[in-house]
Amino acid sequence: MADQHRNEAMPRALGELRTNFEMVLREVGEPVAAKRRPRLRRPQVIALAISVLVLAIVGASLVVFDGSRTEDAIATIARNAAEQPPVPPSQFAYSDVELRDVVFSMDSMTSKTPKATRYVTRQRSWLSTTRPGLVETTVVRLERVSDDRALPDPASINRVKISRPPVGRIRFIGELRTLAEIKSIAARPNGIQAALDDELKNVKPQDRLTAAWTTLIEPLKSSSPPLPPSVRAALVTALGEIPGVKADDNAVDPRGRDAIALSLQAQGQLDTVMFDRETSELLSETIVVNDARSAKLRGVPVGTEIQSYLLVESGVTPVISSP
Amino acid sequence: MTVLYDLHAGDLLRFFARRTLDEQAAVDLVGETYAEALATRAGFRGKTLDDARPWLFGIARNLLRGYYRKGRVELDTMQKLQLERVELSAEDAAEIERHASLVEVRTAIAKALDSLKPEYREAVELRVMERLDYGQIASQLQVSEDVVRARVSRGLKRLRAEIESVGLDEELRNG
Repeated sequence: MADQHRNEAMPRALGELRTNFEMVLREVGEPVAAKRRPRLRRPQVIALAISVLVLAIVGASLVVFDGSRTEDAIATIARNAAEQPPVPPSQFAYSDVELRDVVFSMDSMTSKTPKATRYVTRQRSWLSTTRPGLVETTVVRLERVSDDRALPDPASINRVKISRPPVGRIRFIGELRTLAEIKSIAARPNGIQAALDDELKNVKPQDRLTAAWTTLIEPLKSSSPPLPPSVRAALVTALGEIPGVKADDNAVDPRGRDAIALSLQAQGQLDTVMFDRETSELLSETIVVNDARSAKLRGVPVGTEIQSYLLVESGVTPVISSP
Repeated sequence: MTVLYDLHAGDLLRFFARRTLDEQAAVDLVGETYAEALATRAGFRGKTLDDARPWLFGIARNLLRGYYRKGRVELDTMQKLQLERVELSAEDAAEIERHASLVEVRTAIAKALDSLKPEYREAVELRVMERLDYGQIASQLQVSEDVVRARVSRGLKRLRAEIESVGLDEELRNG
């Protein structure tokens, strides 16, 4: 009976997906039976104690963020963002970004000690607004270059893809919109907030803070299509409206650059973004586990950096060059 | 799992491609379906390969609903399992277009749209293609929101009948 369903000619893309799937199957192995929840053993008790200690240290470090300065810091970032020149037509906003991800394997669903693998990826983008309403999103992706804990070797870049032709609409707060629509939203009082409320109306209340934060941060990254300065400023202002956002106007990013930091603690994670103190360019984002009791992160040690975005280089250029 | 892949991946690709009309989204959804199947395989209660087909298509339908709701493919389980995404070249997209007979589907949709009364077609185009909400459409067409909802609903009903006539629901029935 099953043979009647067999696919005779599989498209090439499905063949490639099958190869990738086989690699995952080799990694995962045979099905893992559901395990009875084990009782805590001594090493686990010690690990728990260490987690609590680290949590206390992280919590204490948060005191550094002075809530009274948050509004001023956000106003400064927004003002600086609004004052930056837009990317001129026919020019490209170039960026070279390093992305780090920790992916937890299948075993983490049943094990107390999840298996974490770190990946480092580089992404170079040449993004431009070629004419009103038409956004060119030429992204050169450098495929995964390292699957170990070492820094990637730039020379080991092995595959380059120029994906995406020019498009008329870009994703902005959950919807595909034209530049004119985006400008109109940003220009309206509470326009960003209204669009955000609409996008998040079906999101569970406990996920809403993180979802709002992520939705607003993403278009501010230089790997996203360049937005007019006024729109970037409106996004930053909307970030400041998220309950619990804290600011530190005397921060330093992971590459030692002077920055203003905004952070949000939710769902067991501390998410921190750093903006250049002069240009309000988004320099980095790091997500660190700071509460191992969170359901989504159960078993992941406190202090683990699970994701980071780091702007290595950026500028305006007239040509797309080879990496 | 590879046997299940060989048996059903092609049908799943056709299933997704004909419903999304987006080749890249269809391949992503196939990947996410198998990732989800792998992650939840402990919950599979069937005993034979034939039992797995409705189970897989059940996962597929859930993912498709999410795609319609969000307007994009969420690759959460693929990322969790480190299942690499396949990016399509123009040739790949053309091959999938042939595999899923998308030209036929697109033609049928265009024909069905043309056959709608102008007021229904306009309402459907503004709602589905322009993604405007009912209030915006009502304001643009100078009618009430209730009228817009009725026009969109009737227009989509007619479209569905036309689409079913080209066999789009075949996989669902088999699933």
